[in-house]
Amino acid sequence: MKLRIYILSVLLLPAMMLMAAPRAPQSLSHWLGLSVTGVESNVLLGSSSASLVKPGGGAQVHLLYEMHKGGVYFNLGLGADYMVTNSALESYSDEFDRVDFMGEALTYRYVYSDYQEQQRQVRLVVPIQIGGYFGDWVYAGIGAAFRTAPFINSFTTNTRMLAEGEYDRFIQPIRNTEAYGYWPEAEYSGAGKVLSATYEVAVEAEVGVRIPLPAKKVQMRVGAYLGYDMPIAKYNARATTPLVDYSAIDANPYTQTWTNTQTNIRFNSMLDTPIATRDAQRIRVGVRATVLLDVTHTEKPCMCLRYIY
Amino acid sequence: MKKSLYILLLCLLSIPMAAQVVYQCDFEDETERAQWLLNDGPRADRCPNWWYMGAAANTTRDGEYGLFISNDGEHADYDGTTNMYAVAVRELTLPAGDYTIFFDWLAKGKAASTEGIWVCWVPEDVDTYTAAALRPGWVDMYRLDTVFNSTSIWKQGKLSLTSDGKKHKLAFVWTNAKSSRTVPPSGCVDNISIIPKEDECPAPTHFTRTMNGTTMLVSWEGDADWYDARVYDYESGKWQFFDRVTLKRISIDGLSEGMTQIYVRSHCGETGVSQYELYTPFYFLPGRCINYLALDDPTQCITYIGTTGNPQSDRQLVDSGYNSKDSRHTLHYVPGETDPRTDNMLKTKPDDALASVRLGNWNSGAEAECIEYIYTVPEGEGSILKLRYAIVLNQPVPSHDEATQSSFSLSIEYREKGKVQWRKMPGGCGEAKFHVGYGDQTGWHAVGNGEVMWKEWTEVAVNLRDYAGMTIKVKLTTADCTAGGHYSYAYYTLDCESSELSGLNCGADNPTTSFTAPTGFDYAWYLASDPSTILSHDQTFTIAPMDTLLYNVDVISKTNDKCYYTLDACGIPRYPVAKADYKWNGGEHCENAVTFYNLSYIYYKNIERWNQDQRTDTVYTNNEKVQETVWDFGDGEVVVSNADSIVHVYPAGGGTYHPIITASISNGACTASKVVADLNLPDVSTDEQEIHLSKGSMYHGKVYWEPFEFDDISIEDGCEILTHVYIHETQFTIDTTFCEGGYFQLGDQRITSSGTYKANLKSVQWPQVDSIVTLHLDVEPTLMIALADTITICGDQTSVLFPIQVVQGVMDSVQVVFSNEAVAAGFDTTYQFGNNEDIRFDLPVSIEPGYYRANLKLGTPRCPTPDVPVVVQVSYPSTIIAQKDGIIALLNDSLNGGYQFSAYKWYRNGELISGANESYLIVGDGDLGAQYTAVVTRLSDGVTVSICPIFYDAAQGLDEIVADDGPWMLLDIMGRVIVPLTDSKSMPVVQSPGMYILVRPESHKTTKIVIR
Repeated sequence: MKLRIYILSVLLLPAMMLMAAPRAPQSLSHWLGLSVTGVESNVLLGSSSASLVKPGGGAQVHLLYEMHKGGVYFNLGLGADYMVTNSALESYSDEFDRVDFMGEALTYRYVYSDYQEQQRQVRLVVPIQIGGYFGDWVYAGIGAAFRTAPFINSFTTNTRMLAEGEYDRFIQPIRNTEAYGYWPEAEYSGAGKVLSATYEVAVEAEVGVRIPLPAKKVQMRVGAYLGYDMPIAKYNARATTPLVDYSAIDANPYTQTWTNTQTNIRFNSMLDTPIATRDAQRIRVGVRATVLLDVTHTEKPCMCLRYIY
Repeated sequence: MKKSLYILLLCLLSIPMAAQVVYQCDFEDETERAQWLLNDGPRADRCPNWWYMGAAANTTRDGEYGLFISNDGEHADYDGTTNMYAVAVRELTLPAGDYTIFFDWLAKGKAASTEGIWVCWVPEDVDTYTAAALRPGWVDMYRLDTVFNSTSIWKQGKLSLTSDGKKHKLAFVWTNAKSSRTVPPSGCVDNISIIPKEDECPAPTHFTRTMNGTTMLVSWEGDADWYDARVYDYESGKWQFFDRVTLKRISIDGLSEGMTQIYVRSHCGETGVSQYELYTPFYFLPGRCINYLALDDPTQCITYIGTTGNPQSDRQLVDSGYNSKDSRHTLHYVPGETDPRTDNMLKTKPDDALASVRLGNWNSGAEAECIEYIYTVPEGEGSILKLRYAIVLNQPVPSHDEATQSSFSLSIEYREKGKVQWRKMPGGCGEAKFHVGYGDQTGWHAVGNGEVMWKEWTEVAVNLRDYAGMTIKVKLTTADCTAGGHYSYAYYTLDCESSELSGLNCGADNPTTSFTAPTGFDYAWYLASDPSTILSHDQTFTIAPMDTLLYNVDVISKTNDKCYYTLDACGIPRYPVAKADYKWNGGEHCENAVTFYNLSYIYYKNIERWNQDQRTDTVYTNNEKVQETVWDFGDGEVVVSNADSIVHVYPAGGGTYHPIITASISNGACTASKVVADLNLPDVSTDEQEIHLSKGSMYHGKVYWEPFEFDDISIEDGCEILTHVYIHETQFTIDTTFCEGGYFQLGDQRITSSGTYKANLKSVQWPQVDSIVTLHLDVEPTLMIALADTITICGDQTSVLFPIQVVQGVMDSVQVVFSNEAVAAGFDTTYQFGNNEDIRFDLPVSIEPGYYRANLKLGTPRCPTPDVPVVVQVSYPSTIIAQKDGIIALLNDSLNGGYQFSAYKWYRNGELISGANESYLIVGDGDLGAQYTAVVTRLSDGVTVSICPIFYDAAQGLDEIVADDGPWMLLDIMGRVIVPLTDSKSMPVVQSPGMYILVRPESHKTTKIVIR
């Protein structure tokens, strides 16, 4: 996917230049703008078959400085992104060797279903873009963006969990027996900070149409938007981070309680654990609207008349 | 015959069809054939493949002629040395309007290319030459649809064309690309018809079929006035035609096993007609040693789906047809069908197999599938299980280790007669796993850059000689790679064959010159006297005609060279010996039934001229059975049977018979016959009874005036009854006994109870004669017993007791006769008991829990009593239930005798516990002392049997209390101190029944103890 975007970018850039440049005036103009983008965002965890990606979303607001010459434009901006991504596991379990209060060895297992995690991030973004107009209305551009490490960076986990005990001598694991700590299925939730989030670069592409406006010094563009975010720094603690941390739960068969389990269970972000086999990449697809104000300095017409007379 | 039948069909069809079919061609008419222009053009001779009309094999749909592409004029095959197209043209002028053209077609070609047949409707003035070039532009301009290809069975094409009233060419164009690989059959066309659009009517839909023996009843839905059907038996190549069918169903007799093509079209009025709708049902008959195609028959096999971690997690059949990607257990039976994921290089079944089973599909996701077959290895001649398989794997990654790689595996377990535990074959001889990179790597092929790897059809065999009479479980499993990214599936067939050598001849005139070992193995032939020198590794070993040396062959598993067995091979002449014994049934049920026992065998005779050096004649036998036995029972009936015994019923009237047994070997090359015995069978057709009458009485319409005795014979229910009739003087006494339910007619009195009776009788005929009769009648009551219909015992009991109570009558013996199924499970056929004996007999060791039918034959002094059916229910022993504090659970198969269960129901004090359908039960203190049992369904055969009950008692059988982890104290249920706090390591148990609490304060442990 990444390679295809690079190739597309390389091919599109000269094509846009060639197609756009001859059709428009060659004078340089300067614009200030504001772009607002709404996206659907999907986080890519790597090749783990156990995890599921569910669609999330977000919004981007960027201030732009843009130069036009001929049919070609170039802009540089500064803005903020708010991105919500979702991940899920169809099933998950952790198991431990234990002894019950009657002294019998067993495999104690926490079994999760409907495991859902939502990550939320806010970043500063510095985008650049080059593009061109094709005819009077159609435009296309490609660019890149530097995305800082998130300064809001949280996740929440919601799941259903039960605990069961599997004995070597029985056919099925034993469930719903609180005297043994085999808790019935119940909802659990947790929240925390995604540790693996880091600064990113993104490649972006945009194609759309210019919206006609009565004022000549104002332009508006609306287009489809595609972005692909790639983390720069590598997160190394993933291999040792469990998805669920049970270290604070009382495992003594004589004193353990469901309340203790409910209170002391700790969830980590899926992105920080071996379930994600690499630092999360993200693909964003959405709609971007940009409003531009022409700030080019021009001589006043009356000056021309003065020279005539 | 076929041609005349088809012409007859056309004649019949032509009556209603004449009004609407504007053009029809089945290529059988010579005049019509002459209208076609084939392979025309100045450069057509550069094309290696031409259109032909003829009767080449498989190139005509029916009849003798069809249109087909060939590179030799005889076979439907083509040459790929150049790009080319060949054209067959028929000029037609149709009235202006819209039409539908129907035609039968067949073409394979490479799936990814445009090789195949194009159908074009071309204006008259367009050149339609055949040439060695790429497909010309006029084909794309005037074609009626896309290319027809990728099938190995005949199909019907349906296209629309529009005529402007001018002359056009109907062109069939074959195109093929330059390629080193061709995929026949090439294009074939037959049975073309063109019908005006307005005359179309809806085709039939929703076909279903049911089987009644070998008769197939096919039904469909539709609103037409009548239907035409044509049926093609793919195995025999025969057609059947059904015309003007109005019932929306046809009954087809005489079909072969395999695929049938059924074409049905609708008729709406006298002009409307639809295209033929194709329905391809498949059926097979039982009778294979392993009925491996009966996927939907749970008595034959069990199908599972699951994941690579547990391929048997869910017992279900997932079959949406062989074309469906969703199918995980399905049959492939279309002749010539190939697997498109192998670029059509792999056939989905061997040519000589009726069908194959596909296990798995081309969905990834760490799926796994499993099928288990249960098979009882026949006694006698050893047998071989032959597995033929082909595997398709998606991107088998070399870096995957053996455990995580996609695979197809075979596993065979056995169960000894009367045992319940499944065991693996020693030395891993029943295990084989097939995958890329490990084990035998021959026969694998790659598609593209290895996106798909497939293994061609390969045969492996497993020796079952050592398991004769035992039950085996054949388990086949496919598994995707465990990472879930790559799919895996396999095709397979199962078969059995003899494990013995073939090629053995018999007698001095048919010397043995070669031996052939069973297929599917590796081989090592050597002299018995010199095992270190291997003479051959071939399947067949040839010797000189006079060679009588003893050779051995090691028949070695292809998947595990440590698994092999050894056969003797010797050219010494063999001869059959016919031998039999017999037993008469004693005339029971007015039948002369005789059981014959086949004792025939083979003997070897090394006569002088076969061993001239030593000149020793030796004769010996090793109790080999003969190949075939023919029984001539001497009453005109002849039966061929290789069974160890056979029952023949002779006429009840008896007679003398000379039954002859004939034994043969080497397909009848050597035979031996013997008269089994001179049977002198008595007349068993008669029963006897007495009747006493006074003189002057009438018997069967005749009056007897003088004392007299005579016999009368009548027939009831096939048995002759001999009646001794006594005519007495006028004053006489009768002493007789009757069974309850009978009666004695004394004059006008019908007497049914015991006692002495007198009567003054008058004869009914003139002159009426008085007679005084004294009757001493003893009515014997009918035997009545009290016994439950079902006798329930636990599987760990050693004997079975039938608690019979005699309610009335006299019983002097009891015979318990078990059914065949019960005998197979280990019971004796009959248990005999005398008067006043307990009806108790041993329970067979390791009998499988279940239901075993028996009949009680009650012996009575005089009055017969009907058999009493009874069922012995052998329950699982209560020892397979374990209990912990708060938990009652079944032990798993490693501890419960090898049983696996698929369903559970729990009972408390005899009442069903709602929702308790797991293998364990959660209980509480209030349940202490309650009786619990479960009814479980066995996974292997679906039999549902109860478990002998237990009483919930978390600490049974205490002899002493041992507490080695600190001080403890014992309280009763009321909290009263029974044993004060003590450091004693042990103490004898309290004797009073009840529940107690053991408290260990330091470790905060409490334990409930129940003393019963």
